[in-house]
Amino acid sequence: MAKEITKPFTGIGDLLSKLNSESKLLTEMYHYRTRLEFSYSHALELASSEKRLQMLIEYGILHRDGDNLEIDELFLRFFEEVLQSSEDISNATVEENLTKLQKNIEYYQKEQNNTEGQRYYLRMIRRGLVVIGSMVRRNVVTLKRNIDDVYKTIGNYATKRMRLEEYMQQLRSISLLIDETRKILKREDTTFRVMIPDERLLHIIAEVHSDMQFAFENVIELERVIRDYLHQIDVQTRTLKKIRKLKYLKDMETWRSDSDVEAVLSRLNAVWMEREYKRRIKPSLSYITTTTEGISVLEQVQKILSKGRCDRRVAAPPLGKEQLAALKIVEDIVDTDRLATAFMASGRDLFDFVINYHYETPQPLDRRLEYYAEIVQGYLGQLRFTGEWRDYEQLRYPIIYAR
Amino acid sequence: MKYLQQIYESLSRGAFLSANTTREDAQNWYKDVIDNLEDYKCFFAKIGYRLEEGTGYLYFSRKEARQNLTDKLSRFGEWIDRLAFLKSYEPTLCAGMELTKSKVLVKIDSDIELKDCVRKLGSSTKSDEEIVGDLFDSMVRIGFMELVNEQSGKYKITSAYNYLEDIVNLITVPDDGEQEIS
Repeated sequence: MAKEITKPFTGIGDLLSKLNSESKLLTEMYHYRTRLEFSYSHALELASSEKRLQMLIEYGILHRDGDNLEIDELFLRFFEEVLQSSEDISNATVEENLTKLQKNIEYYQKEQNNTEGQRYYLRMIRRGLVVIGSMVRRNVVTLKRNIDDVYKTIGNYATKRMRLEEYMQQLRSISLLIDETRKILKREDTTFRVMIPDERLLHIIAEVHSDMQFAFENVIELERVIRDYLHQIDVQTRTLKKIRKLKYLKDMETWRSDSDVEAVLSRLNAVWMEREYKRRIKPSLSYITTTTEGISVLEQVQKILSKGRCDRRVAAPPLGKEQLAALKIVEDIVDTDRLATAFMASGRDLFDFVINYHYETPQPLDRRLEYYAEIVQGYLGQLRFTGEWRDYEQLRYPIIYAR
Repeated sequence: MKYLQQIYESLSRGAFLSANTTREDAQNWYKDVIDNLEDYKCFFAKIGYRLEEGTGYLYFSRKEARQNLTDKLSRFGEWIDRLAFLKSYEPTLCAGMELTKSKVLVKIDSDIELKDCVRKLGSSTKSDEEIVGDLFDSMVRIGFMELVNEQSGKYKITSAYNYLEDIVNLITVPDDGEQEIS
């Protein structure tokens, strides 16, 4: 878009020094920017010299329109955006500006025969368009930042959901404003063409068009983001609820019957569920037998195996019930003292008594003879030897009685 | 298939590979698998593994189960305990989120529910610090979490964590609204 030819700045230093040199004038003009009537003569009073003022116009910082002066839209937008970046989102002001714009267009059309009046309303229209463009743009950017913040920082699901839904509403109203603004811009054919051909107005219209396009694309993207976030919140809430419920059922030990966890898990054979991740790979025989490393491995194995054999303690099998039960041990012992006492009282001869004694367990003959000899030795003083001998089978024995 | 051995060694131990991993080697592995998914799948199928792909993660499973249902339930049960604890700590927990042990411990001290949850995660003889340490270790071992900054002790939840939530979402539980979420 062709603009008035302006001198270029040589660098940022040049730009800053030029702005700084007339800071008093620029500050005043910025404060009165909404009145749209800043006379050249008033500016001259504030400027350090007319030459300086002309210089600002030459460099395109200011525009002269008849007797009036304005700050260039580019600079104005920069000042506004930097100075008002923290402004809250308010679609109401955009709407207000939009109504004002529409009214100014109407007034302009009514001032057909009054060039001065038309000029005034043209300035208003230009200003209105710039304000709407930058406001919508700024609102979208702020909204984008807020949406991200809310999603990432607010922990409470309910609040988060409500905040995001509010933003969704704001997006819808911004999108309506974009539509409205575009409709007005489209009326270029019917409305703006009948206006005085104005390069700057055409330039502003193109700028606002691109602002609206930027805002429109972002609004669509943000709506998608919010829907996505809302969906994620729903999914997360559902999942969270399910995890807690599942944990509750598990702790109650009823999850096998109260949920289909068994059916789901039986379909899954993931490796992570396996207790041990052992892999058995058979060693290569040729590696073991032909390399020095392999041989040393064999030697180590041999060592471990032989050590194991020495140290091995085979535990006895556990004792059975029968083995643990208390047992009576019967010792087959004949008490020769008691036998002797019984003999003393019997009055029979010793040999006959010992051989024919009624033992609890039957005793063999040689054992009975042993008892006979033991009594003879042990009780010699209490015995009476008769000197008579008798035969018993192949044995000859003396007849002995008690005294 | 440049990283067959590394991928096999990692996945056959029951670990997961994540798309959002910060480890450079694992990033290469993941990328290589995605670029040659069918080749990898065919190869691993021949040695008895099924290479499974989820939203941002890869893992191994088998055609035939190597463990019985009771074992599966007990393994999964351990993860439900851990998951319930982490979700109590941070209800919005999801892949990409960062955690530190110290912050978890601070919250345990000020949150009765969390304190109750942590006691159920480990034996009563262990301190909260040991239990949280064990929890982080298990998460890292299986690949649901990564240590991203050793100095600040910052861990990042990987996209493999989605697997846990995916399983939970497969399960149907009766919805009687017994436990309301605020």
